[in-house]
Amino acid sequence: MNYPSVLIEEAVNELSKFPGVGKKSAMRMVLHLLKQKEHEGIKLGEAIIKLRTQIQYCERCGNVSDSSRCNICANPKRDQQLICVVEDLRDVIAIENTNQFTGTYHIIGGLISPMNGVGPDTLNIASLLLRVQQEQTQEVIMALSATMEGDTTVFYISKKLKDAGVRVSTISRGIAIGGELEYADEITLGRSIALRVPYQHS
Amino acid sequence: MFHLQSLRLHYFKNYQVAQLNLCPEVNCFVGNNGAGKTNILDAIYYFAFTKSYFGNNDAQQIKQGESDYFFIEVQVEKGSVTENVSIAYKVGAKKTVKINNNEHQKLGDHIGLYPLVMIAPNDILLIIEGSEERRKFIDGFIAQCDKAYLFNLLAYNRILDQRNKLLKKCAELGNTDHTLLQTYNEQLVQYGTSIYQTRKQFTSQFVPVFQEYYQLISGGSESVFIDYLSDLTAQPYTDLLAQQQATDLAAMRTTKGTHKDDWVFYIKGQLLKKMGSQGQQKSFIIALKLAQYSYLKQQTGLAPLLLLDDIFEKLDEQRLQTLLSMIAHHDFGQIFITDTHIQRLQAVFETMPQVAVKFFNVQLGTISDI
Repeated sequence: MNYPSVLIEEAVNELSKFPGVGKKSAMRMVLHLLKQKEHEGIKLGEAIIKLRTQIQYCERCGNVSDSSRCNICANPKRDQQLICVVEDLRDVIAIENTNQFTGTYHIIGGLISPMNGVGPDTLNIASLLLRVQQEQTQEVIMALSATMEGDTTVFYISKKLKDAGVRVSTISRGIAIGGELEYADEITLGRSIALRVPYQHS
Repeated sequence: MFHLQSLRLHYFKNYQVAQLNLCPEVNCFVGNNGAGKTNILDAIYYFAFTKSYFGNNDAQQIKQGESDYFFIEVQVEKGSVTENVSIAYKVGAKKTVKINNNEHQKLGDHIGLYPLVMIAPNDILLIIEGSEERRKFIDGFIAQCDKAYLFNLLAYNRILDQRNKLLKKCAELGNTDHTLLQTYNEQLVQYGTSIYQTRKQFTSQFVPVFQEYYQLISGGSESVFIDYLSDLTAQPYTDLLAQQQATDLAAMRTTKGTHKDDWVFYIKGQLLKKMGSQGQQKSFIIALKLAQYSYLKQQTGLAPLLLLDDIFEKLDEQRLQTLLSMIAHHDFGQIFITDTHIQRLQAVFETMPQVAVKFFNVQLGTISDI
């Protein structure tokens, strides 16, 4: 694409680095910015600068935060002895939306995959182990993806926690609520049968 | 029972457009070498497995220089229902497989729905090539009737890749993460042991079927045997990995496991690869494929499609007669045959009037009924 201005070209190049945004969408955004009042664009720029320079990560769990401790860790009503291990911020949001979980989180920032250059040392696993030891945590819940890499990561962390005297559990896997058996894939269904649970009256 | 009613191709291999109405029993494609007979069989193979029999990548399946997509559409009659299966591939886009316009979420779901056995001249590679060819054949075979096996296989390969990458990294850094290595070991053991057990059980069920077909094809009493070789036979995989740890770290890859399994073919107690005559090797292959046919039929309850590529050229009179008498006895479901000589084929089928047969004339990218 040819651009009438170096300034536009620069803005388009930067915007098109976003996931899911190509050159054409970036161009639309740039034109939109130029059509609006000047202060709208400046407000956006300042928001981005503030976001990048002032964002903090909770020193305890790695969640994003406005101060050194995130809202969840600072909340006395939450069970501080219960840690849910998740991959990233999106998982925290998803679990928070269930309103079922009253403990705290630990964000490890990825899944172990040597093929993609991700080893345990590049993830926040050491800080989790330290935290469990220092805080005398009761239970660690693994809420990681049901993929090969997710399995490996759960496996690895549980090995590391073996001697820490903490209960380690993983979220259950199986038939989706409201799902019909005939549409479940064979692997999920097979495993659901093999790992069936005792029926409980709730 | 199921059979293909019609086949439509767009820009597949050397066909721009082709539309065939098929016979439920025997379909013969006759034409010169290079006319595109085998491409028809490959299209049918692609319909069943969503890949080429010859291991070509998808872009190579497109008619060169005329299009950036190909399309295969098949009408299948399964009992009293008709299913419309369409497969489309476009360069740079995802391959789509639809049954009655419903797209499969995973291509793996499609494999095994329409069982198929193909016999082609280059099957001899199964005997003369390395163990990878035989693993590919057996794995594809088992996966057609066992979804859990396919899943275990994919999981094993994934863990294996990760473990090998880790071994390489350990060597580069000069520092081994033993906990992570142990994690991969346990995952490999879990999937590998399951693969080993399935292969072992499969082999013990399959060999007697195979031996029966070999006797039938060769008409003789030569003893044949297929032996399943695995590192896991001697000791449990856990011990094996522990024992190989130093070797693996030095070699920077996993040196033992089910990814090294092999099947060894014997004739009269000797290696078929070395001691078998050409005729014996051919009989072995045909028996292997016919046993596969019978095994699949028993497991899936469907008579698989049988694709015979250039079989009259490659088989001698006696083996051919055995195969033909099986066709005459309706031992198979729908059959697809290619040959260069129309007279030869017509003469063969004149002797079996009880078998419905249709001939197609194939000439450089066009097909017509005869």
